[in-house]
Amino acid sequence: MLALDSLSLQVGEGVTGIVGANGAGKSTLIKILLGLLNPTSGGATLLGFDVVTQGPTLRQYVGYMPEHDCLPPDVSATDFVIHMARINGLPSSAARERAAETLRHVGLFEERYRAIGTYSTGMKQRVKLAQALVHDPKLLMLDEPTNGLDPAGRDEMLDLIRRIGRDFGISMLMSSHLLGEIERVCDHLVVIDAGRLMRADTIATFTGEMQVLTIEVDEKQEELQARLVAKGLGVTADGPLLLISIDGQAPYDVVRDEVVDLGVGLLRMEQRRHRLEDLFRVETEETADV
Amino acid sequence: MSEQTTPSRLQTGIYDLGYRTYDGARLGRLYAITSLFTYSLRAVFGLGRGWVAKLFAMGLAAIASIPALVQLAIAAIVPADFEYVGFESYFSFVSIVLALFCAVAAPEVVGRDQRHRTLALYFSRALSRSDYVAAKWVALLVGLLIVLLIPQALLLTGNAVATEEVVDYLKDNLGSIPPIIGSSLVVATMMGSLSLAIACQTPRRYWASGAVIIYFVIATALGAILQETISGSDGDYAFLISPIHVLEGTVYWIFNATPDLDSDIYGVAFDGVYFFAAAVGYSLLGLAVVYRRFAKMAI
Repeated sequence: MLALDSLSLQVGEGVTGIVGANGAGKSTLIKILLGLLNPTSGGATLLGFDVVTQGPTLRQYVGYMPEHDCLPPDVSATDFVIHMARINGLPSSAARERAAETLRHVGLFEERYRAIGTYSTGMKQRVKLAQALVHDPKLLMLDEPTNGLDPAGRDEMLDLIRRIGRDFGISMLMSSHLLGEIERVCDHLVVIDAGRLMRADTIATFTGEMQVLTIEVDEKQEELQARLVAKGLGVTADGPLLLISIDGQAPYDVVRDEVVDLGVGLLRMEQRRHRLEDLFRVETEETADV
Repeated sequence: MSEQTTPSRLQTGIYDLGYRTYDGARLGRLYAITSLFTYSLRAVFGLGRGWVAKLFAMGLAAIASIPALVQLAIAAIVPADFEYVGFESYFSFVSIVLALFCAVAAPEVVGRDQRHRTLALYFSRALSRSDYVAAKWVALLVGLLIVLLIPQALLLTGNAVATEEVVDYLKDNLGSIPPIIGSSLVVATMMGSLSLAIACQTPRRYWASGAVIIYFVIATALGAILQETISGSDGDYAFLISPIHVLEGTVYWIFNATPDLDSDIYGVAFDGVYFFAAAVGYSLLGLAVVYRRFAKMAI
């Protein structure tokens, strides 16, 4: 089975989101970077270490939160995270201290002494995050961290992830099939589909391209659209609205002049940003055509 | 919704002392292996687990000491020089208990992380897959050694105390300490390796336990039956497929003793070194199977 096909990619510091449909190869990419899977060909360098030949050294500085359940139910969160910290090479006393601190950071307090089996899905996700964070990694890999959470839990988890990225200064690679989540948390975005890289860029560039000027007039909408097109603007009608693509400076003056010229009433004029979902939809439609 | 989220946010605010980076020691791979080893050794005896796990593991370990305790009781009551259990036949007394102990402990050691999918967390850390196998293998081996050596140590010290000349007794029996340790090491290695090889094939605890018991019972019975069926002294080689007979023969060989008259392997047609060679072979085979299983496993 081919999960990833000749994917080449360079990612900098900060929080990077990997987005793609289920089965696009997000988990496979993360597992190759962690050395859990060996690529049939090619390689990767992470934090300056080769993932195939320097795996054990590299993994001292990486934290991984898998998508699936990975917690033993009959152990307390404290004991489990301490054990994982020791496997990361932290001496016993440091492991205990860091485990307590990290569990507090992810929002687990008194309940951390209880067996994990008694936890809610949200609490288990926090333990999974804590074990990935306990050794103060330079890079965190989060595979679908909001999986199985209700909307409130999802919000809390995303807040936590954003805080880890911004306040703790830890670089992150986070996969999700929900663009909205990536947009909330990440600085960079990698879009993969069917094992191929669709695009990799900063969130700002992605969304920058999606600037649009929305106007609404009380009459003669079609006539105005024709005039604006004649002025060289990209205009599409969306119900009662006209959407004008912004390429550089917003064409406020042109719009004002044409509206005055036609003698119609301008009901609304606002600059709007398309959400990433819209861009992604366009991209996938384009590839479907190819 | 806001009612649910507000308290935890509030708590986060109150308790948040800021994130601190960790600049302390990172002790690396060998430390990771020993940490996993101690964690697994504790698991062998049910420590850090529920009371059922403790009951089974420690109960069986206690049962393995019964022959030694009986011997000590007899020695205390009857002052005469009466030996009910010798070191060279101790394994024969407790072989079934040891097999049961393996059936309880091996799935705990190698099945648990598969069952809860914790392997992904280990293999994404500094441990390699062979490090993992090594830590688990040594953990069960040491666990079995403890179960084997405690009663034999009891036997040695108890017998010494029961005799009137403690020092003389110890002097006379000093020579039996190396074979006690050597034979226990071989027994622990072979039983540990084979039961891990069987138990690691499934994440399901009860299947694994059942398979380990069935292997020890069936293979031992098969060896005995084949030995009866095949005519002549060639039949004796059938004992080599029976793990219990192999170990019994090895223990007698290490102690340089002849098997008891009522033992199956009394007067076998070949030298005891064959039993020892078979034990080494089985141990290596078992270890190879465990290693292969974890090397190939998709995480």
